[in-house]
Amino acid sequence: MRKGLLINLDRCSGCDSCIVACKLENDLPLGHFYNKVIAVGPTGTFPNVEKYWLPSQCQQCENPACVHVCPTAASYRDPKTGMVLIDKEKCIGCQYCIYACPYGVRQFNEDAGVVQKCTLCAQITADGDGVPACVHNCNCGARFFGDYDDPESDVSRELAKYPEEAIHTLPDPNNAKPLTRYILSPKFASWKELV
Amino acid sequence: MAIQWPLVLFSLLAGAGGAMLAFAGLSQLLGGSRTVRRRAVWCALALFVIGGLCSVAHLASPLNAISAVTNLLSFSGISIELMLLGASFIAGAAYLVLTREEGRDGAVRVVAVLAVIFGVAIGFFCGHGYVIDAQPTWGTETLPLAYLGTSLALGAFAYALVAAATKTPADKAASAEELGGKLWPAVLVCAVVDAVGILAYGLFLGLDAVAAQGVLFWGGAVACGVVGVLACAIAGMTALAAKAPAALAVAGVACAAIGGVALRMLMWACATGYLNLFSHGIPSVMLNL
Amino acid sequence: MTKGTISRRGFMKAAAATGAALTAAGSIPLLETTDQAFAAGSVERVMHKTACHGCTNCCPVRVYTEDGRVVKIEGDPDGPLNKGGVCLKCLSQIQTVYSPRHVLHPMKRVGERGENKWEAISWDEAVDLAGEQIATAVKKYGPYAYWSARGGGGAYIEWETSGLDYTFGGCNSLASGACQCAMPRDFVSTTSVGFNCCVDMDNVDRWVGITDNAELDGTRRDDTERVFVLWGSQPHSSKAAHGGHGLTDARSNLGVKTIVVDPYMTAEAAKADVWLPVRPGSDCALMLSWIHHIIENDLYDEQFVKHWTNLPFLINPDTRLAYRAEEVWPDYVNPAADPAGVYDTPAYVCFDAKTNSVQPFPFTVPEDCAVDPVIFATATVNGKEAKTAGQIYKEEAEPWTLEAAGETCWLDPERIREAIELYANADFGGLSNGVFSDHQENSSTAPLGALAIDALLGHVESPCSAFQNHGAASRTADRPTQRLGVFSSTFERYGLGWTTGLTKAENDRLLDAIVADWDAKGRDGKEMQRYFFQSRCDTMGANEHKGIHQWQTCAPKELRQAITTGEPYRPRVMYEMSGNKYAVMGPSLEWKKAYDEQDFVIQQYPNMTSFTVQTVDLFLPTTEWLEYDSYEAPGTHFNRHYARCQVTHLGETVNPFVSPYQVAASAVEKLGAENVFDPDAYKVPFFESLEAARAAWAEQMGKGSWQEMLDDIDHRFTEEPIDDYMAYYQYKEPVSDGLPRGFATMSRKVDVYSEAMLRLARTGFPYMYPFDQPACDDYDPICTFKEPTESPVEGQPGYDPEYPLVITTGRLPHFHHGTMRHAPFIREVMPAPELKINPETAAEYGIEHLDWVKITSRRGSSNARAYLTQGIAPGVLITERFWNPECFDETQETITPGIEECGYNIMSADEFQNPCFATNSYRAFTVKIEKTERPERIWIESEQFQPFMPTLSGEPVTEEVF
Repeated sequence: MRKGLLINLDRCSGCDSCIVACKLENDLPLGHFYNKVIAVGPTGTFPNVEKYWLPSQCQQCENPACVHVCPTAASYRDPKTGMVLIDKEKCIGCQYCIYACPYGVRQFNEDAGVVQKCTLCAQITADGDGVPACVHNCNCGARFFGDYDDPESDVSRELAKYPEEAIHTLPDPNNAKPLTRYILSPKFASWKELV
Repeated sequence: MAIQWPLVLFSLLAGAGGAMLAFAGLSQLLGGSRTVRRRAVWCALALFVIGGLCSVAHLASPLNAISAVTNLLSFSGISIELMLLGASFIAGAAYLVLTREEGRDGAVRVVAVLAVIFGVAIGFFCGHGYVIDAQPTWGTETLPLAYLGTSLALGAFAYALVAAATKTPADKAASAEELGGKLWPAVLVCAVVDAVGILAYGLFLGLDAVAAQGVLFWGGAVACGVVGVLACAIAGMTALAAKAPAALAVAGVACAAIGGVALRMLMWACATGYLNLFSHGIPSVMLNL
Repeated sequence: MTKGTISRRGFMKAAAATGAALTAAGSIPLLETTDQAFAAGSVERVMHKTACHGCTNCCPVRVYTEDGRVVKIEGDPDGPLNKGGVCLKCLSQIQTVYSPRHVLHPMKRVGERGENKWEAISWDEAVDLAGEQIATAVKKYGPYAYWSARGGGGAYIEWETSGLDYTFGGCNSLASGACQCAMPRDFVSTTSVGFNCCVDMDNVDRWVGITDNAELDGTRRDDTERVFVLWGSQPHSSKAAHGGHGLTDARSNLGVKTIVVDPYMTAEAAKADVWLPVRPGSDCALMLSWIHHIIENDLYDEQFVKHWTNLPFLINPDTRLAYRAEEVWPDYVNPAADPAGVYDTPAYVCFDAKTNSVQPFPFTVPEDCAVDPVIFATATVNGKEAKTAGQIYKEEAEPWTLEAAGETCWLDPERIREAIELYANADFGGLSNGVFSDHQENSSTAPLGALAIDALLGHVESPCSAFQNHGAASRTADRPTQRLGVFSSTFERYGLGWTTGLTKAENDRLLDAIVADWDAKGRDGKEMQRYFFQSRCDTMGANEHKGIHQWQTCAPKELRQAITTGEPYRPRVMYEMSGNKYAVMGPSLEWKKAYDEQDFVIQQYPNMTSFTVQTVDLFLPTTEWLEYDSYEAPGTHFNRHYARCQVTHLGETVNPFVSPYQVAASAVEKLGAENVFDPDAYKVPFFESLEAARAAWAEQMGKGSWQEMLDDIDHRFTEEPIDDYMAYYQYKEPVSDGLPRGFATMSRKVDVYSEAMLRLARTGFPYMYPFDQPACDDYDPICTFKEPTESPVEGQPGYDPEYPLVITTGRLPHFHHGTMRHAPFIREVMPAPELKINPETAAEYGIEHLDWVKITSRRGSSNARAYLTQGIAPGVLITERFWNPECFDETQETITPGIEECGYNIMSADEFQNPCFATNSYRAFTVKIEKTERPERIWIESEQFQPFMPTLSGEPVTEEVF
């Protein structure tokens, strides 16, 4: 099982709702984020420009660098669901996972003394029914959650609607195998590698 | 990225302690003063303890260090550092125990060999933990080489200082006899490794990147860490070594310490991350792609 | 203090007696009483359903409570448009309902205005004080001394203020919206198409909903080309989960193409097939170029234009009105005339291609039409050269070639052509005329242009059209009729106004009956009718700007000047119901002077703002939407209208439809019912208690009681059957007179040439019938282009090199008008206004990304952060329009209005307006900029918004006061 997010950038309007939905669901204080929405562009020169938004959070790598560097196995990949999670009881706050994450989507929580990141709302999704708050509340229906191995899951069905050239992952320098897929059709904007 | 001071200090102090331990081991093998060696090992142990405390300060809670120890077998970068720290400490302690009295030469020689190996390794592996793909500015073996070099240089001068401060029965500084009379050449070797490591890492970062951290690189790492350290080490090959060994060693320690700290600060300051998505503040926007 | 059931109305008297001054930052002391139902028991999560009221879209939501405390809000997946999505405004209600700024008890100012010193008082005392102040002013200075302000903020209260105003006979109600939001588009569509339709409300939701839901399987049923035009329309911001979601579905699921006309690369523009970054203020020139290109290249729907619009009508050059057949042939017998004399279907005059002559043009089934009307023609009628309305339009559009429009609008002519041809050649299409035009001098002419484009293309009541009638009510049995001014019930109440589609005799009969009803109640009906007419004439700005009658508001500039100068009279006591007026009205520094002149200001609102601190004397706390019940409009999602259902209730907050009733009752009691104009008027829109309101709303929903409605938790809405909701081409359906239904307009066709504009200017028709309001200059009956008064174009009269840049505004999904500035999680991602600026322009001023910029117009200066982007033309600026930073807490010695730090409306203008609707210039004026430093009181870092974090989540759940 490989549970993760799929984000359809053809649909995303950059409204920031997922940020607030996440913060409220996960009780994050001011200044703390599990996700951010980054405007990519506009690129080009006015008026020949293009732009899209890149909602960013843990990419649920299948070969996660954060897990490899963790000295206490606090960062782990759940063998059952494939979800990359942090056991806060085990985390000693050494922050090596922050240095090791290629996407910079982990934050150190000074108060709790642990590293935090997107949990795919495990408190909601653990029993296999619910979807993360950012998916549920997405204004434009741009976010999907489910098992990439299940052809009937929301993510698989949405992916199936699009050709290869519209399906992207963040660049993967060393075989971390990010699971999260982004859909961006060339007619809206060309995918940028960002590195 | 923010400079992680506990890690800067830990890696330099533990690495320097390792180098002192290695020098003590060499002295045991090549010849020198038992007093100098024992004093140096005491110093090394002290550096391990202080360095270790520094690294604990990096953790959210000191008690978390216990978790790190109990997970030694994860073979993560941190656990390797911890293992080497422990091994070095044990080697040093064993050496002190074994050399309380004369004799036990066989065991002492074994410990001395281990001390050399662990002492050098800890300097290298304190830097090696940072070689990760997600940090393009750390992803180079020149980084642990630079960590090793700066550790060796600091430890070497520190050992020279201990030697200079220790009097022989003839009421002369013990320096001349240390390492079978090869103390200063050994210091020079360390200084060369230090210079090569720093310059190699600087070259890896590239002139643009180091220019953005001009004071740290040119002032701290190059002027002190390379030029200063080399100058002191070369001076050690001259008559100065006999005239003012302590002053030379103090100058060397100072240059090596500044160079070592500057090199580590540079590493943190130049850390960009691979795709550091959360580094985009408010408003989050990537322009000029 | 004892626990248990204390009467809330009396409770605070005790607290007030302690005389504690209450500051904004330190909330009022908590009530200790606890609702027992919530106090006992284990923590169980309870699910509630209601609809958000954070903007006008009212998305359905699920809310969860534990021990009565709201712990989670999420979108209701059953919502037909939002499908579970909700925006960050909605989600943030969980922070604002428990915000330290949410006021829980009535407060009386005890210090000077601006000192933020308050005393908590009981509702009895508050209502008494409000009534006393109103009564005193009315007694001393007459009924016009009282005025009200509404809309634009939380938008809980809109037209309803008129009920309160006419209790005393007052006539000024300042709507922050209206002139600057939707009213102009409402007038145009209502008078020209016969109903207030989507184009009026920026409601892409409805037409997007149609396309989506007509093809429920999410795939296209045919290969028709469908194209939307979003002209200054931002559903992704103004209705992110609602129309924004619908637009996304249309684009991604159904391949609907989009053309976006917007100076800035909005979210809509980023996804558009063609983006036309029009120069702010030049839209009408662009519209005329579309009209010109469509006519010149025969791209129009000839049959629709001939038979369903008034463009073939010959226009009398003297009156500028269409000839009626009877004017040319006095003995003409109109075959469409109603033998019963109730309904009016006029016959007009056209130039007939069959006979090459001027002929009568009665309303018929098109197939039965005796004539073949020529759309573009000039002919001699009654001895005079007369043009058809089509010809007049054609000549107006004649100069606007693609090249001319390209030059004026700062666009590539080829891209204009691409847009027009994509749209004109589509099988189905619709144009959403966004709020942009309601913010500038073209507020009457741009909607006419949008109408003309769609009417020429036959995009009326067709799939995708913005001009869409929904529901059984519009499928009338008879010739459809339309009464203007229905947004306020008072025109009808006092017997004023013409119902379009009825004969004069029938109109007179209806109005006489109203007068007679008053007589029967012992009042002088004629006198009341006359007083009402006179008061409408006396309304500020009503003579020059007669379009304000549409929503029974007043002209903002004239009101402001009257308050500061006392001419022609001075309104003195204000009942404000909308939020931070500094944010939403410009020029705000001038408005500040006017507010400072007020004798007494009452405000009802859920939370305090810098306006409260600076200006308000008595604050009446109303409910946040989690505490709110309502079935008032808005609340529509596709074919559903959602009720809003209380989830919790804190302190002594009162439903906003109840407090005005209490205040009015108090004032009437003090004045004496016999001394006020209409002592019962306030009882029409407002309610004595929440129970009374619930009963009325339950009845509207067809339920036996509010509780009955609540009990069916999955159906807290009313629903229009889908077949009725999506009935296209209703105008073609036959009705009782054997003719097609047509439209509820004067001609029963689409009045592309707006006679209504001319009649309005000349007599105030249809509102003022049977009286004539004094005439003013004619309002343009068609789309015309006028260069904005302040122009960025060298050589134009309004060009001033000192102010070389043109500025406009747009919406963000983060805020609705002036609201939610106190929501901490919103503010940390949108801490300060962003000034979007092209890097080339920024470089000229040495401005870099995120530098602070001082923006200065001829009215004043404020500040924003530079956001460099290639998504806007050099020389053009855009920023969000309603900033009010609200960055005050107890650490500051003084509290400022905030607008001089960050407040767009300091710069906007009311000295040049749209003549018909008194629309101020909130967009398309000119400014200069310079680099500056961050204003001292402006917070930008996450942690700085800590003073906004919730502090009231431990508050007990309380019972209603009224």
